[in-house]
Amino acid sequence: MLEIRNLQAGIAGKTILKGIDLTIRPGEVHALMGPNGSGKSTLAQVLAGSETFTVTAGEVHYEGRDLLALAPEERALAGIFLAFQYPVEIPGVSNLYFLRAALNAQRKARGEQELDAMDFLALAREKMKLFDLDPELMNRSLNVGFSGGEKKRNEGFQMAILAPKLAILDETDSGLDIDALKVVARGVNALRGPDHAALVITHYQRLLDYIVPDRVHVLSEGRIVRSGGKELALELEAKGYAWLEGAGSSAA
Amino acid sequence: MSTGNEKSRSALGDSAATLIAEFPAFAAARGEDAALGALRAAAAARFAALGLPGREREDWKYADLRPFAAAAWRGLAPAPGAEALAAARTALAGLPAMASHRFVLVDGRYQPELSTPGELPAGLSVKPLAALSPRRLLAAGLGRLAAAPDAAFAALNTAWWQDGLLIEIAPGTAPAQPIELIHIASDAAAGAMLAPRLLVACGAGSQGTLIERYASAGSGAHFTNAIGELFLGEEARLEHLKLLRESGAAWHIGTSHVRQDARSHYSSRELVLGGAMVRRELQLAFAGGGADCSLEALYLADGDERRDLRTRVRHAEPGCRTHELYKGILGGRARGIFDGLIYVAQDAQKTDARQTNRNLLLSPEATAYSMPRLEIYADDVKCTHGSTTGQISDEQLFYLCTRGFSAEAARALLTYAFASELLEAIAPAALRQELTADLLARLPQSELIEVAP
Repeated sequence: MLEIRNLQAGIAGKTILKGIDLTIRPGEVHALMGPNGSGKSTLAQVLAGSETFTVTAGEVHYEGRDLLALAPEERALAGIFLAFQYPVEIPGVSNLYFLRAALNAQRKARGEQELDAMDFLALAREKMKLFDLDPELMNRSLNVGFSGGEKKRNEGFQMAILAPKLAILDETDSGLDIDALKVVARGVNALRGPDHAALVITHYQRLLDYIVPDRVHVLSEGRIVRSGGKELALELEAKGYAWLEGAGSSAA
Repeated sequence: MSTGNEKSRSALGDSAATLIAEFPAFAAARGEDAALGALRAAAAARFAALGLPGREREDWKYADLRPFAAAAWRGLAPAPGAEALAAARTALAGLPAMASHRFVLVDGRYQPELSTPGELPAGLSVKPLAALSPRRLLAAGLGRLAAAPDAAFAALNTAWWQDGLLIEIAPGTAPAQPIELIHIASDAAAGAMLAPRLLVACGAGSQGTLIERYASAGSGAHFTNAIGELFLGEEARLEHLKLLRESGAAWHIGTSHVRQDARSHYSSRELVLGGAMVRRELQLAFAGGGADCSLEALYLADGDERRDLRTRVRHAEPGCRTHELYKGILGGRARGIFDGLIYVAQDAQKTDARQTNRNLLLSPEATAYSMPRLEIYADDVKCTHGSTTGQISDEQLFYLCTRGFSAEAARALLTYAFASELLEAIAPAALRQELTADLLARLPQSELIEVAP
């Protein structure tokens, strides 16, 4: 589904990603861990098509297409979703209006019938419950006046509605209490299936108690320095990131 | 220094000269009594002495009146003929149907056959100014608020006004339906001035809604010079909507003067959606304590259009509140000016005043001048002011695109979102829908978004 080969990217002449190799197959959930500043969020932003970062080398294929040649909206229409670490506030655009427009843009791109307001509302109500979101809040402006936790749950809610083929969650767990964390994890797990994959970026192991990954990768200074099964996350939890420094830079 | 002044004065003088030269014949034809005649003559003399304001004047520094002066205005627009009235009728048919007391002026004159006032409830009186005796007009406060010695255009209106409305809401009454005042300029008014006058008296404890529209029936270059004087008695409440959508060649210079007695509430919403140059000024004074005003405006400009929004709020009494939010959306080579001053006198303790101007620039060649100001002489007050000018946020744009919005649709949505805040509070649904549609029609690529009215 997603193949990243020797991806290098940076900002203003500073290289952040120094050659990433990563393959995600349909149905798999991969966790990407690593200390602050290792390049986790940069990778998420580059995959979603942010123009803040410049790709200097390497390639990314998504379902056989050259992902880097696609505009952010083309990536979204092709089934990629980024849950932002810092969701953006947009005054004047209601959550539900925005989400219906987004869903219909994606359905249209897939040649599916657009959802009318009634059908959409029924779907939204069901998913709001899943993410424990107040329907009143959803009629208000996008993320405006939301607490940190509400913003993150709203990202999960959007993901559940849009049902992406590849969900990228950028530190969705940071700033969440344990109940909210379980809610978000439930949302990711509900999406799991043979056609859906996820890249879960996190600083902490605890999210992985609830979203059990198929693979775990450790990013350090712009390179994946270790890859392994779910037990790697526990090892990191026990030893911290400091032991990585001696681990060298050979990717597994 | 004086040479500079004379130079700009003479460069701006041709239009003014025509208007000055035609005044005596106009005044003689009106045949009004001495008191009103004197008010007009004094205003005409004041205008003759002032001439058109030049850029050396602080309050006209960023406005460029040269194209205005070059247009050589030919005095007042003629009374509308059959063609003008037919065009006005067509323009009216395009407005949404709403329950209101509707009064229509065409080319500056009240048209009973186009108006649909319906039955006015007890306590509401609306009269065309031309039908009232000078004595009645002066008693109602004509010229009492619009009397600044250096206001050239107000003087021009006071000298030349021909018609308009006197709206009176009796104390303690609250007409259920809004009063609609519609100004339509036909192409017969091209090259001429329209000088409508408005007088509003809200009795103590009364409540009302006034919707004032300025529209063109054609595409002509007319000049609307509008003055309103509004008096709010104690605890009166007035919602005042001003919708400006004149032709792309039209000039509009207008001021609403407002005086608020104790504990009254005045809300002003100005939407400037059309016109080559629109300058709207709001002069508001609190004449009693515990009153408040909410002043909001949304102005759009594109191409070479000019928008010039000014507010002067005078807090001279204690415990009054001002909320002010002016927003501009500027594309093309448009220029938008916001110049707001909230003055808080020494005795105006416990004043609560907030003043904000935000501008969204849609083009690198558009310019916004923003001058929010506070002048405070009291020590126990809460006053803030702020101003932002910028383009659409890249972060917001990216966020929408990651959800599947095209960059164009995301831009259109963000532009609409910036503007929509001022529409949300408009209560009559038909009006809100009309304005939303109007707004969308003026925004780039708005066909890409679907907006619930």
